[in-house]
Amino acid sequence: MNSYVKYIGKRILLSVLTIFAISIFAFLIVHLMPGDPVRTMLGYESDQAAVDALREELNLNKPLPVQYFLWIKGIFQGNFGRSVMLGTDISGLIKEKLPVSLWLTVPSITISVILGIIIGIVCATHRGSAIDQTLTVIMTTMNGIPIFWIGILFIYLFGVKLRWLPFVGFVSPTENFGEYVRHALLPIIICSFRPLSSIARQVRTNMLDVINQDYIRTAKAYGISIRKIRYKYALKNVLIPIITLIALQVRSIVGGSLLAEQVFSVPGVSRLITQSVLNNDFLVIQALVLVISFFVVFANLFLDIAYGIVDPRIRINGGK
Amino acid sequence: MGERLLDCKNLKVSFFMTGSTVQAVRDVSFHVDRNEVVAVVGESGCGKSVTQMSIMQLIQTPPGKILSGDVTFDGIELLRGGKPIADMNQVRGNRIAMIFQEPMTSLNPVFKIGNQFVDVLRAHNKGMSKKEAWALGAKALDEVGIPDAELRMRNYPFELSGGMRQRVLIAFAVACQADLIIADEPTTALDVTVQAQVMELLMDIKKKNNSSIVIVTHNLGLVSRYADRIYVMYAGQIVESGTSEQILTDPKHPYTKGLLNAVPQIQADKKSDLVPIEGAPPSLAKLDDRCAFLPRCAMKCDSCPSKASPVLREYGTDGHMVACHLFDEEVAK
Repeated sequence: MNSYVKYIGKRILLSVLTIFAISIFAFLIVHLMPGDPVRTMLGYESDQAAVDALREELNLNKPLPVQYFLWIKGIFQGNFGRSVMLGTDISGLIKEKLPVSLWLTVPSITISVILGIIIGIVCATHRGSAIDQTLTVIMTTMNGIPIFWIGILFIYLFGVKLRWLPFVGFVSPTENFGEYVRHALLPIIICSFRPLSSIARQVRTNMLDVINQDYIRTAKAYGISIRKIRYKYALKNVLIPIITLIALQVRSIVGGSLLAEQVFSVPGVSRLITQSVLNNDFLVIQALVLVISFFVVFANLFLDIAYGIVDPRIRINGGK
Repeated sequence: MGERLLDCKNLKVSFFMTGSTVQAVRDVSFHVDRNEVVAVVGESGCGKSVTQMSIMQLIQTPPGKILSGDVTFDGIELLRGGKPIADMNQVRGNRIAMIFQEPMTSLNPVFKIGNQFVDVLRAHNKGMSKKEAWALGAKALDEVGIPDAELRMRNYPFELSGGMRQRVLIAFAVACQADLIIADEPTTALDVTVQAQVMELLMDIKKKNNSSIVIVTHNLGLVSRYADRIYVMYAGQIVESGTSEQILTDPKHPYTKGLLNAVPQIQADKKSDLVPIEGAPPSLAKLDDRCAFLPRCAMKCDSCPSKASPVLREYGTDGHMVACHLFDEEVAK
């Protein structure tokens, strides 16, 4: 147990370092971007005195390390600064947009994991059958389809032609759950394409591999039923590596939501970040990159800890 | 001659690979009596393991397929004409237990030893509580000489050494009180010192539980002390069978002689070299109908290449069987 605590401690430390590194990276990238945020905001014809004044206010005249330090200091005080473009407080923006994005990404990852595992098992247990082959073809296709393309296609089919679903905007489930489902369904499905297919294919491969292991033969040789062998003995071994894959897919879902929010005009974090990049709204970009990274890193940390719970080798040996 | 426990007749097993068919078991008949230790000996890839796996119906299908064979175990028909008859899950474990070659990988890495015991025991004893099964498991571990059995029950396999894991697997067989234990190369992956311990342990269990044991091995030296009867297999066939004494002191088949010459003798003159059998076993995918040992045989006659593969026949009247043309005349008498 002791080494598991050590293992968790190491993971937490690594996560903190990662977020720290990302903050530097986000800061630098934004400040190295071409274009002048102040000019963008005030217009290129504006008065030099006004430009200088705003520069001073945003600390843009100070050396980069000082600017970085001031930014971080602000964050620790719960102050992300103000959006140059919108003029509003960034913390408020995040509070408004983040739930929207989470209402898309969390269901998406949940569906991907559950369906992915089920499909993977079905394929593996029916190896070579028509079901397996059909599902494998579908999974491979899903993995290869670009989100923006299938997004537009879905909008055309379900939104414009069939008129089953609305294809613009977003309604929070706390306001109206039915409307939330109607609005979020297509983006959630589309965001799930890649993670779902990756997980399904990996579960299938792992299952086929595990079922040929010696310990499965032992279980068979001692008369344990095929059901129990599949869903207890094999599945646990199959799912352990899948945890790593889920951690990877969290990233892919965040990336996918960037496109999905754009295509479906969902007012979430991803849409905000796209707008901010286009407007050179540097403080918003920095803040959002940091917030998104925090969620991804946190999800990974959580899965690392879960890994230890499921795999005794990690729990007892600390992953050595 | 004791009561017949396992009877296997005309077993044929092939593996259908793309482009070739591997005839792993070619018409093998053998039997095991109660309270008997039977050894199946032969080089790697001669069908020993596949034979035993087929008895348990554990071969991978596809590519493997049991083509023919009648197997009866303690009056229960397991196979008739190559078709499964009995529900194998009623037999596996509690009637016939199997111990495998690879102790390192034969236990499930993510479940505690104790929980694996519980599942094995409860698969056959529907009414048994988890607690009872756990206690039986701990008792079995104790019986196979594992110290701190209760503690080991709570360990995961990766916390135990290879010899320890093999003991755990043997303990499965002990806990199930199987009538027949098939040990497929039980000591191959272990240190020499541990090998002897494991063999002694198997013999202890046999005595205690009145069970029979089939030992599959390539090491004639290992089984010579323990086996009552020996079957020598080559290229998917039994080429010689008899009591241990017959095989060890009066081997007939050139292959058996070769195997015996390849075993180191502790009393032997230090200068005498071990004599290997030249060549390697034939590919089981490329067999013709002649004697499979022919290319490696040191005693072949001029007429051997023109004859069909010899069949297993009794040599003399004491149950010593051999499949070799050298004895055609003597057998005919």
